[in-house]
Amino acid sequence: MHTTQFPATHMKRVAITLVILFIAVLFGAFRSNVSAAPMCSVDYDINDQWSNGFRADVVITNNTSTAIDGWTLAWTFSGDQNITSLWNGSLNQSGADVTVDDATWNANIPPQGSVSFGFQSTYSGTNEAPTIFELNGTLCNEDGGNPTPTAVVATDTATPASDTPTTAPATNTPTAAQPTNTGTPVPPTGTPTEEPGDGTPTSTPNVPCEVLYDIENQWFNSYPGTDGGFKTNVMIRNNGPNLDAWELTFTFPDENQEIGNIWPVTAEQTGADVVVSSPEWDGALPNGAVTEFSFIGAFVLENPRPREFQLNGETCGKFVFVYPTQTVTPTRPPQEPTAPPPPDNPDTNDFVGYLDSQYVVPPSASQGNGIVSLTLANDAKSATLSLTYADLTDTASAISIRGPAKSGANGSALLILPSEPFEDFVWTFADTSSMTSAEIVNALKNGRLYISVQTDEHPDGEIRGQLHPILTGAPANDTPTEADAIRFLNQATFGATQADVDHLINVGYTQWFEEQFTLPAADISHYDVGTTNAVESYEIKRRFFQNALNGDDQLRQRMAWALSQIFVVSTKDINQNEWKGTAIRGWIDTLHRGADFDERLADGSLDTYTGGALGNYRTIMEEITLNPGMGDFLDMAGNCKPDPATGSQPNENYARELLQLFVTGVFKLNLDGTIQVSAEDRPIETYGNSEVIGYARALTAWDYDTNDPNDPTKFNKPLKLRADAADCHDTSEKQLLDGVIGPAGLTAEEDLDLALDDAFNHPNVGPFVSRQLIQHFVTSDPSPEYVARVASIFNDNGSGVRGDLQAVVKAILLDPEARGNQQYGTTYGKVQEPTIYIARMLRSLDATGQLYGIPIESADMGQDVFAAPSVFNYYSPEYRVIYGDVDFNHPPAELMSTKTIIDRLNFVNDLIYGDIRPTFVDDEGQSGQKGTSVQIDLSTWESLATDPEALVDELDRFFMHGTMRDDVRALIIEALEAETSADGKVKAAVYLVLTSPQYQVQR
Amino acid sequence: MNISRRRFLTYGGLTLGAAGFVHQFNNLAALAQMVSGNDYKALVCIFLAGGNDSFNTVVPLDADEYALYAQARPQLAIPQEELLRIEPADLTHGDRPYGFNPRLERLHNLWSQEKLAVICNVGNLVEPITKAQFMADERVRPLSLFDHSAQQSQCQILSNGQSGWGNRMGTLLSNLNGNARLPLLINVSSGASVYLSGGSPYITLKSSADVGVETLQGFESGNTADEARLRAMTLMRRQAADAPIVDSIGDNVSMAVDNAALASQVLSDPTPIETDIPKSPLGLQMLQIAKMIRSREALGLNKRQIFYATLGGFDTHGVQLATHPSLMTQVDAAMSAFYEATVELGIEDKVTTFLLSEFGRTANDSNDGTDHGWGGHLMAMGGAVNGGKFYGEYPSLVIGGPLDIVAPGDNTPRGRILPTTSFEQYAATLAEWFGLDAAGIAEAIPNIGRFSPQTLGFMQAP
Repeated sequence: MHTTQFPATHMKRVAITLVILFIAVLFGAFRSNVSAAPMCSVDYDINDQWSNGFRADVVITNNTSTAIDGWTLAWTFSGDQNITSLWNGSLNQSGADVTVDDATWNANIPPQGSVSFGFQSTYSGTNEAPTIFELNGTLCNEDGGNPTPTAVVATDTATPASDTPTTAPATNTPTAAQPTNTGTPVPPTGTPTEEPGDGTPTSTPNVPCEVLYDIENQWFNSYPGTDGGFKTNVMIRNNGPNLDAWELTFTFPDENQEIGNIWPVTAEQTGADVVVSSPEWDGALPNGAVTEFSFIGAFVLENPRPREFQLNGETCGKFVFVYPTQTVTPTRPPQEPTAPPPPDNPDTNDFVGYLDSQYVVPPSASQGNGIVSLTLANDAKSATLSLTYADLTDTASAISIRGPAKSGANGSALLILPSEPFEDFVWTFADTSSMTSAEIVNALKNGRLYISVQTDEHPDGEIRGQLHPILTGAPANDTPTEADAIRFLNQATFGATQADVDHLINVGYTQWFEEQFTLPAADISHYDVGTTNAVESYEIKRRFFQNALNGDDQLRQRMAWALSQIFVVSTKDINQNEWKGTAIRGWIDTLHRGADFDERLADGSLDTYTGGALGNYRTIMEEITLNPGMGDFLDMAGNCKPDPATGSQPNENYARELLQLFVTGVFKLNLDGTIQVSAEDRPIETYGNSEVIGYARALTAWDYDTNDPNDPTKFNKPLKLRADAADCHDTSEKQLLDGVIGPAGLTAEEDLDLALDDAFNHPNVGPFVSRQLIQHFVTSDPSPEYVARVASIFNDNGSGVRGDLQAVVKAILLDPEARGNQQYGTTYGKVQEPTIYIARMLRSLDATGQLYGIPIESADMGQDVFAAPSVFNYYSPEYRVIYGDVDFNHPPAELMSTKTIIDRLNFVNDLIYGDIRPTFVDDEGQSGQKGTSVQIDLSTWESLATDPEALVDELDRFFMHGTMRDDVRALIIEALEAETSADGKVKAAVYLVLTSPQYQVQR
Repeated sequence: MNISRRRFLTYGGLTLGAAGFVHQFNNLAALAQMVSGNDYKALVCIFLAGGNDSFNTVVPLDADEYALYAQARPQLAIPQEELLRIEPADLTHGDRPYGFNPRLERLHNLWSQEKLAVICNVGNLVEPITKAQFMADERVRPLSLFDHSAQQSQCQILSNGQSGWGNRMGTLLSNLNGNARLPLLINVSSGASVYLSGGSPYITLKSSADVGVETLQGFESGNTADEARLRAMTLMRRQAADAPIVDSIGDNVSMAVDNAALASQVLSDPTPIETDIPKSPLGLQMLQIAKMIRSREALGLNKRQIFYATLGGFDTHGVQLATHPSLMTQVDAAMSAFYEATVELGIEDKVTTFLLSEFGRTANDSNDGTDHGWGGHLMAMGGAVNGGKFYGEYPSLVIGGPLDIVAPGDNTPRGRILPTTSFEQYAATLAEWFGLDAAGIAEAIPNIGRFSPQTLGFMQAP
């Protein structure tokens, strides 16, 4: 297990007390096992040290009898040491990992010979000397070639005031440093990094139990803040007699520390005293066994670790890693909370639970699933429930409401419900033996009631579902702080401007949404008809950026842009080159404002709008299915039933992508977007090829409005029924989803409606679409709970309407996970995709110009607007990044290649120091110059140039809603010293902010 | 969940500068000096995205079999007399002749020189399966058959893998390259590469018409203010934040700046590749690869390199007669010119180029195109290939025949041909030549144990 290392630059150095350094005794022990025949020795000598810096010399000795030709020495700092200069070698430092290559002339180390290099470095807190070095990938001894492991090398920290390096004597007692955090965001410090050993026990237990208290993550609820939250993992080893159940007691050092959410155990807290109890379903802890639990907690100002732990009354010692261990890990609940719990006062009366075998504690083996909904009466004296289930091993033997218990724990039965699926069952609250009716209501509102469905085969429950509140309301405060407003607008629009920020604070979230829902759509398809066909598609791309910069209907535009990456049509694959622009006009209209463009007027504009991005998903599905651009792109147009004479078949292309990409996805999903798996742990497919063929047949007999395939006006009207529809349409039975059979003999229109309804009402659609929209607006790796909350709104907007995109986008943007303090989460947010990265910079810098070069810049960065490489969009919604031990979903990171990253950085350079060339490209790939170049205005900040700190703080406020890290801020301020003019300082500061990884990742 | 910084120790320092942020790459000769030995090998993967219609790539020429082929696809069958005749000297196929697509003239020539082999009816399989077993659901079928994205991932990852099989091979062999200056996994396609994704980083050097590599602009050497700004920019992207989502992007940026600077230096070598590689989308990628191979010693990649290129447009549902022949022409010209370039560099025996495509297409046509199928034919090219032969079995193309899979509940056979050779066997044959031993093959291709023989013989001994 590794502890998290945070850069200590985050810590305020207000109250650093003298701390005796710990050193991992373990390292010495392990090292002795691998360094039996060391080929090399490394002497790491700190020869000078002051309060925040030091100099060291490193000597590498070749212990072998052959010369080493070319060397690379690698080590890992345990703290935040950051080498600022290095001589007689070539440095690469990445975080704590350092590699030093030879300086060419000293590449050769003769047998028994040595080479040396030196460096200067910064540090804070403690300056621990590294103990493990690798030379050309092989472990070396340290300290002058002594093959005996040195148990401890300790270096003291100097007190902040001292300029004199001091060294403390070695100590044999490892002592965990105690954090004294008072700053923002506070990194946990302390426990040593344990590394796996080779199976040799490193200590004999002489304590009845051992406890590791590992603060994995810590954050403040505001920035800068006083009250914060944290997540801790605790491991316990029992060295005493076998236990059937256990209790761990400890006392928080600070009275404000409080446990919120804990799993898979239960806890009681009285004042600062905490009693953690083993899960009733799995409390056994035999001698020698290890168990673990986790919790989310809250703190004010400081979050010190508890010092003493008792297991069933016995005082425990420090956890010592012994390998191998017998680890008893309770089966965790399927969704461990990764977030501070949402506000516990949701202003909703609606609750939903999704039932599955994996939520039973412990999980049952079953394919069963179900959904329960509950509406609390306004007087809170009763509730109305509806429930359905499917795929159980048998009919239910009992269904009960139970509580209080969170996900992962069990509670008592409060009410026995009917055993068949039911609707509108009224539950009038009454005191039970375990809970009063008031406690029941409170538990419900806090997500602590669940439904359990039992069968004869699974008497302890076959499926279970926790009742979660459906959050429909705005956050507690409808009026955002300025930082919240900036953050919100960067999620919801193409970039926050100061005017938008002021307006949002003025009117509040609710009113802002109402305004956005009613604003007319900016025109995107009706451009200058004087343009030649050859550059039509480029005109549309340019108009896309013009609208993003100047249009008021920002929310609609962002939603349309997201939808265009789900219902993809790409000009890359429109078969007629010269009609690329014409071909996608109707598609763009459909996505922006909804278009029954039978009504396109003579000048190309429309007069009937059906909602589009802020309408209903089902409407978009139908308009897209009959869209002539899509008809060309995915071969929807012109399909007829199978012809035995020629052997020809209806084309499956559109039918397949409709299901796979636009509506359901390939695997069955739970409401929270997680994939349903079979008993063999394989994902369950949503459909097979029979269903694809069924859909292809259901969608036969539609064709372009014109009979001449070479007439581009065919793209001006939706697909219509072919004249020979009666012969062309396939009237046989069709296999639709989940066993539904479309009856024989329906007309083409009836089959279209039936097939689209069947797909639209599939349970996958809510989570499938919601998850992708969350990814487009807020975060790439949303929690399952977030997906479930939004999917519930997709399924029912509160008025019984499914697919209401206004309700969905509001739920996405006002969710606690969008508005709360998740911005400090480890995998929260998303790198800005090129279009948004560009548009956001241009909007916030008040850019003007005709933007001719902008679509090319975006294409260079990997996002050619409306010209995705294929129907699979610019990136996959499932693209994952594995970073160290962290594995997370990060779709737009797929676009971050060597080339595109350089293009992003150079775009910022051109924007600030040069100009964006007014270039356009026609559909043949010929480019030319046209219009004016992009102009930006940085003068507003020049008055701050005399005060670099104020300048950087202002940029932090405006571009990063006050989240800039201290070390980044310090680096920018330092860099500005070399700039002499006000203009130069502002440009350098803006360049550094806009190219920083922190800005590129929207959080 | 624990967090640790990614370790880059396996390929040493990417940075050659003096103080960690000034990059100078003007001493290529010194770098080249470190090179020793000559057991260099490279694998070049060309991914034909969309599912190549391999039944119009290699066609039966024997009168009876041709008749079945022509019957299966009346609108798309290539006239018998236009096919480029080959006679696979392989017992399985007797003396029956086959024909290359008429656009594959140069590859046909390489076949004749025994530099090119055809591997028949390869597809994604979890385990060997017969039509009867498939229909009765008695064996595990690949998930999401006939879906592009699922099948693309599967053929680039293989069963039981968590990363691309190119990445796994590269990870196992990366330490052969002593002082690597760049990752040995090099993507020259315009998108990301699943094939190269995984535990070891890969670099993307997208090709462009001028085949340069763009580098960081806006910093004038010797300008104090620029150098201060560059220093701040370099350090801020190197410093660890508390969030992997930010740190991973910071690392991406660092690698991009460093790698682009080095690659640009290497690729700006004014000596042209004499071989005329066409400036087509695929040709530009092959030219980029040829240059990276030529510079292998300067890059410290003197033992192993793995490349990934793609060509899209193979999802020929419609107007296939207009699109597929031109794709064949492009593949033919780019692949054969690349082979000539390796001859020019004197390493044609060290570089093996192979095709991947997510699936074959239906033997049957629909209107003027074909739909998604399953098994398809692939090719391997190079001096180390036992060329001029078929490997695996050429399938029966009879609609409704012994290999034609019909989804349960569907009564219309389309000629979705059940593969008789797995991507695992194809990959293992390449991996063995590339230098992996049996244990390495089992690690890189975890599901290989289910198939026999494990290797197909189209590569010479390692």
